[in-house]
Amino acid sequence: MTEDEDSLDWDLVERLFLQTRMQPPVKREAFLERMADGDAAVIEAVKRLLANDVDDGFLEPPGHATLLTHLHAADAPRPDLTGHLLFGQYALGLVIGRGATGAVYAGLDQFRERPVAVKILRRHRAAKAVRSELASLRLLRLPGVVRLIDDGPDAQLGYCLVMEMVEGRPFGPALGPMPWESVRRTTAALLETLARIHARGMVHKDLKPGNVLVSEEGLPTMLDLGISGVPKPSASTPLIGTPSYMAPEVANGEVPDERSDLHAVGLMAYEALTGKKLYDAGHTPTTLMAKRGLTREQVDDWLADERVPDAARPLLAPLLQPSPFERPESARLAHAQFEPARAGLGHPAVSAGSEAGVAAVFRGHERVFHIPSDAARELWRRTTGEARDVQAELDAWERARLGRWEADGYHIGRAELEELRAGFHPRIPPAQPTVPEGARPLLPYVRVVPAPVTAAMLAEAARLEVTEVERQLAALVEAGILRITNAGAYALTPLGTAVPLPARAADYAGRLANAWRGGHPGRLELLIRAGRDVEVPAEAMYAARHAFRGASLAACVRVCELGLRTNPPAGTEYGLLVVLLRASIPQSREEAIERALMLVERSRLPQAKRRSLEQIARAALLTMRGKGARAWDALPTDRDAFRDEPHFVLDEMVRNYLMRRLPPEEQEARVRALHGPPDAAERIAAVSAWAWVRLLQTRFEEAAELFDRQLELAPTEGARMSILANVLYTRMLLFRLEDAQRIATELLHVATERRNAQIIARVEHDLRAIAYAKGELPPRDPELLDAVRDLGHAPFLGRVLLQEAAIAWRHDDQELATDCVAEACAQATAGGHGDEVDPLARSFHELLAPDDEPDAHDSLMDRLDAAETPSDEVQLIALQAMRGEPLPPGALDRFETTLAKIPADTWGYRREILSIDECVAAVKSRGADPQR
Amino acid sequence: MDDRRETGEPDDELARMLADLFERMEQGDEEAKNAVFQLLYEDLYRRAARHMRGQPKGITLSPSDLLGELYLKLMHSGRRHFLDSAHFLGFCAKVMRHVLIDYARRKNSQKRGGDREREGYEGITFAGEGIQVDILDLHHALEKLDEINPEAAQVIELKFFGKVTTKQIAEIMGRSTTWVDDKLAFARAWLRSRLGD
Repeated sequence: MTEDEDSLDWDLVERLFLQTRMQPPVKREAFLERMADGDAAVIEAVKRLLANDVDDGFLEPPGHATLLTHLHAADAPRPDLTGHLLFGQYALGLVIGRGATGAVYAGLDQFRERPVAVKILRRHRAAKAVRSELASLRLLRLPGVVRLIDDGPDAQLGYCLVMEMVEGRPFGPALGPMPWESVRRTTAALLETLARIHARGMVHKDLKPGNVLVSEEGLPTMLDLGISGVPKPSASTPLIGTPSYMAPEVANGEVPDERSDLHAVGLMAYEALTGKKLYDAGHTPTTLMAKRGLTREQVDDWLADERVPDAARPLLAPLLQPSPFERPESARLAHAQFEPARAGLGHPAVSAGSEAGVAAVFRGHERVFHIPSDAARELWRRTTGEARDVQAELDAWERARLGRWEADGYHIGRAELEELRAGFHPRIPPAQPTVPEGARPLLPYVRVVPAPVTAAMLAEAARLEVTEVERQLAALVEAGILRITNAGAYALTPLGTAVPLPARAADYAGRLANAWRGGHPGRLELLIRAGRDVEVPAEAMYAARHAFRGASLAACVRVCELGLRTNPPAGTEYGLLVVLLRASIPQSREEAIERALMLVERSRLPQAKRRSLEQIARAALLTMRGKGARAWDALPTDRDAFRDEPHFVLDEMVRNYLMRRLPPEEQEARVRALHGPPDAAERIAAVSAWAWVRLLQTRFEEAAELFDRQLELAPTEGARMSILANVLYTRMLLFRLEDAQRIATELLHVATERRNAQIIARVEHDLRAIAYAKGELPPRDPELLDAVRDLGHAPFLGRVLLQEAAIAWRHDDQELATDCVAEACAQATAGGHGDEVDPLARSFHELLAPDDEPDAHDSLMDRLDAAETPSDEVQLIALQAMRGEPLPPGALDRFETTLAKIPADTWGYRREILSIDECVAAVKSRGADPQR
Repeated sequence: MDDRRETGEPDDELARMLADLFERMEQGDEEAKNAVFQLLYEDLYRRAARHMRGQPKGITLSPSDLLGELYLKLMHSGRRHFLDSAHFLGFCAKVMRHVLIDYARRKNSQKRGGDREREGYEGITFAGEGIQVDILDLHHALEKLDEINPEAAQVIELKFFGKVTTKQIAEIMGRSTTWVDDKLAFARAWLRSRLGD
């Protein structure tokens, strides 16, 4: 702090600090400058505060912060910790690994004399990951998953996790080529573990050889659950996991679900079988692009490898399929395929009758301690000796994490056996719990929710009186099915997880949970409601709408399909079908639209309604297949037949979608037919349609006027915001930069007030583009990129990336430029351009990285046809010329006519890579002489 | 907390005295307020000193432990109504702050003979997950903060020294919890920037 601080207006500083910290990081500086009106001292003070606005537990109240009498807390873990005694119990040895969250040391549990692995988490940064990993590990006390033995803070080292030491080799190419029978057994065991993880409502999300170690006996153990858990919203986790083992849909920005884990298992099994690595880990964008482009044929090619025996193909093929819809629905089903003899999660039969018979089920590495006989004795003592009872007891031990079933038998450690013998664990209640009769109605609600619940939540979900709910809950606690958590909520006990659910409720809950991985704050509530299976269709509708808004197409399609399968009432069926179409059409996903069409055809809607939806779906398909004119004719003619809002919105959307793909002269006629002359009709939609057509026709002046008029008509503040965005767009096209800057600032203000992150990021980018266009070359802005990435909006990100690439290119940063373009290509594929990669991005990519997978599938003329704007076309031709490649006949004519169409001053906005002069010069260098 | 099983009179006596004082305080007797402060101060100071005495380096003493101990004793004073009010917590926060500061000061002067160089000073520090803070530095910073933004200083005092929850702070100060959160954010950033120097 400086001497001036006494004279500072601290009230103002506080106010600005509080306002500025609410802004997204990228726009804080600008916001602050504006609000502080250039007062340097105030700005300096606020910035200082912001820099110190860190959530690192500073001055957390006692309990977290503790009064210490010592001064010398070691900050960083010493590299050599040999001899350090952790928690007075674990002696540390050498480093055996390093991860993103911290280093892993070998250790020895001095009491139990067993080796352990100790993960020392880096401070600060790892805090979140710790919580996530701890939560996962605690939740997944499962066979086949590395066990958490102990955890806590160490005064010197920071937070430490003590885990079971797992020995083995990564399940992947390094292990192969392996005999099929071994691969099958290991894969089956892995799928079994995975099924158990999935059954807890979790997804691993980062399965790869490094995270699955295979013992000499061929048994896999999963490590590193740092990112696993209940999937998060798609917006913030577009690319989670490791590219080489990522499922195609995840590379496409979908939220990983169970089937994504299955794809990874398929890849690992294939690689272990053949010893061949399918994807090179080196270049992430390339790998991701390859992932997105994965086809069934490619999978067939992989399987045609001579090292893949006939028996393996039918098992591996389903796991490797590019579309999650074609993979097995669950790990449980896949496991049944791999191990038909032990369908489900059965165990080797326990033979009863004698201690020796029981002993035969025990296996393990600790035979030197005579585990089988000791364990059998203990088991014999605790049970009736009946096979069923013995089996139940063993299962109970497994639930209590004392031992575990594996493919070859039951494993239990010496220490755990000692605990049992010492009477440490009383006889565990049998696996089939008795549900108190009076509490039966409530159980499904509790049962399908993975998280703790409160009585109030349940009362709302089950529509019961709170007192009644409390009574039932008390009965369930009494029966040992529920327990009360420290926070006073209710959670299932291990016994509770074994309570059988009505088949339909369980099935639905599981599926909905999967589909609902889009991650919505209401997920918990939704799951609770899922238990009410008579109302499943309505809930599916609710889920589908949210998945739709969350832009998770796969989740949306899945939920809609589930909803439709439950024989919903006609109204819900109709609603689901409309949502399905609205989700799939703008994304140009043929597969999804075809499914939707099929479902519409099968529906029990009234003839007219069904027909209308069919026509809309067909029209979209025709457009996608390049038959735009026919598509228009295929649309329903009687627009007034359906006055309901969803249908109207869908119809409007499809017409806009078709319109943009029509030749200009047809557009004119269509708009006229649709809305009548705009002067006569004051309808805002008509003005909008006209404005867009003019925009497409590059008649920007008229478009600008129409958008201005639409702005005057805007009925709500929200509508005003989106129209303002269009007004800004036209100003930028017209190159009225001062005007654009003013509008952008206004829009930024509105968007900030309405807290619309997407618009804020766009306007930030626009303001940047204006600076770029004005010749004020801005520096590269990784923060902006991050902010845009966080939005999870692929097409927009693609565009921003392309411009960042252009800026880097002009700064001679070839490497960054190439990376940005590669990512731009990938983003465009994932987004609104259907299966086509944005042609401009692709051509730019080829210019920057000529050796990197040249794409000769389409000619320049094809790309020109796919180009979105005239300026794109001009640049595509120029880029081809710059690469030194011949220009096809007609290209030059096209260059000239298109160039003439572009108003001279509209250049320089958004994704232009080259200036007009550069384009002309490039084409000239090929011996042509274009006239401007 | 610890295994002492004192049936000692001092606490019973204290509880009785406090009960009287609380009653007078509630009727608006300012002197009673000072007396309560004094009593609590002495008691907490005694407890703190006992905790720290002869402890090796690295032992922890958390204000909440001290307060918890006191609280249990006072439960018997028959003034649970007052004890359960957020205002009592606020009161304790202030006492706690002074106890800790004075303890640190005295310790400091014992060891170093007064105002010596700070280097190597072995005092009392707070360590959260974030930076470490010397308690006297924190105290001085809080005094400074009190000059420019008394409310922010009070919020920190309550939160940090009194383990008072945000909701309770809102109650004590007659504000919304959002207001408290904002004040806390400001105060933390301000203190952090000052103490980080």
